[in-house]
Amino acid sequence: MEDDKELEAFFASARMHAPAPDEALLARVAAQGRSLQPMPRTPRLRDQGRPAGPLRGLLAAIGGWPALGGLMTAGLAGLWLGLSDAGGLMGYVYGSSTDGWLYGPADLVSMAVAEDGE
Amino acid sequence: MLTDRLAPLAYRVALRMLGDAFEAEDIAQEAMLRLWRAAPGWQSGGAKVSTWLYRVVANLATDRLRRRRAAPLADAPDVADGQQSALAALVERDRAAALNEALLRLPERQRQAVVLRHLEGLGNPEIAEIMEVGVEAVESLTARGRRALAAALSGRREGLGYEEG
Repeated sequence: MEDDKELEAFFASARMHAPAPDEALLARVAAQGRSLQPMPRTPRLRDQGRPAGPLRGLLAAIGGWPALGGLMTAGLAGLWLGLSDAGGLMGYVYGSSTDGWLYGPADLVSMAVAEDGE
Repeated sequence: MLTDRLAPLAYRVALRMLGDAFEAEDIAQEAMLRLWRAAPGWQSGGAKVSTWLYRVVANLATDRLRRRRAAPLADAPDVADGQQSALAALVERDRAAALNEALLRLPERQRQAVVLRHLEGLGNPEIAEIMEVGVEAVESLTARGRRALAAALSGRREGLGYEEG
């Protein structure tokens, strides 16, 4: 061999034709991996056997503890708005038919002008 | 997916170390099994998963080679059987087959270093970590491996696309 260039060509060919495993081996390895994954947790027995009282039924009906947390946050936000005299929202109207869009005074004036013009 | 990236790595390194597809499959499967088992305790600051896997494959292949040496000579695989005729159609493939054949004639540690350096494209520090030796030892192993390969392949130049034109 005269120089490294020729040897590099052999390496390049070998890299290009790298041996690859067949699909069956990959499937076996993947199945092996899945079988070693930790099993999902099953519900605890004491939760299953506990009778559902009226409060638990109500909680379940509104969506459980996360929903109750959201309700409490919304309630506190409303209380804050009431106490802090959030006058900036006084002139706004909640448009229920437009997916919760807030209309300001200027919008209402232009809507009224448009309706009058018809 | 992890399997798609790492299982082929394990397989091709094992095959290049051993020259036997069945043994390479065994080793790839065993190495991946060890990986799945080790995964829950894996620490993000530790060795790269691929480095870890290369080391496991290298150790498993070394064990096989030791067992082969202990076995009668009749059990030693014929590395060229089947491969050469199947790959002879194209010059590129023929070169690859010639290199694989020459690789299998290298001493085990040189072969490992050359495969990791020139076929897997790893840097010397990572190879040193995989082979549990110093970087200088890796340099020495790859240099000797290259020289031996060059000598072995010099007789194969004709017919492999190196004729003077």
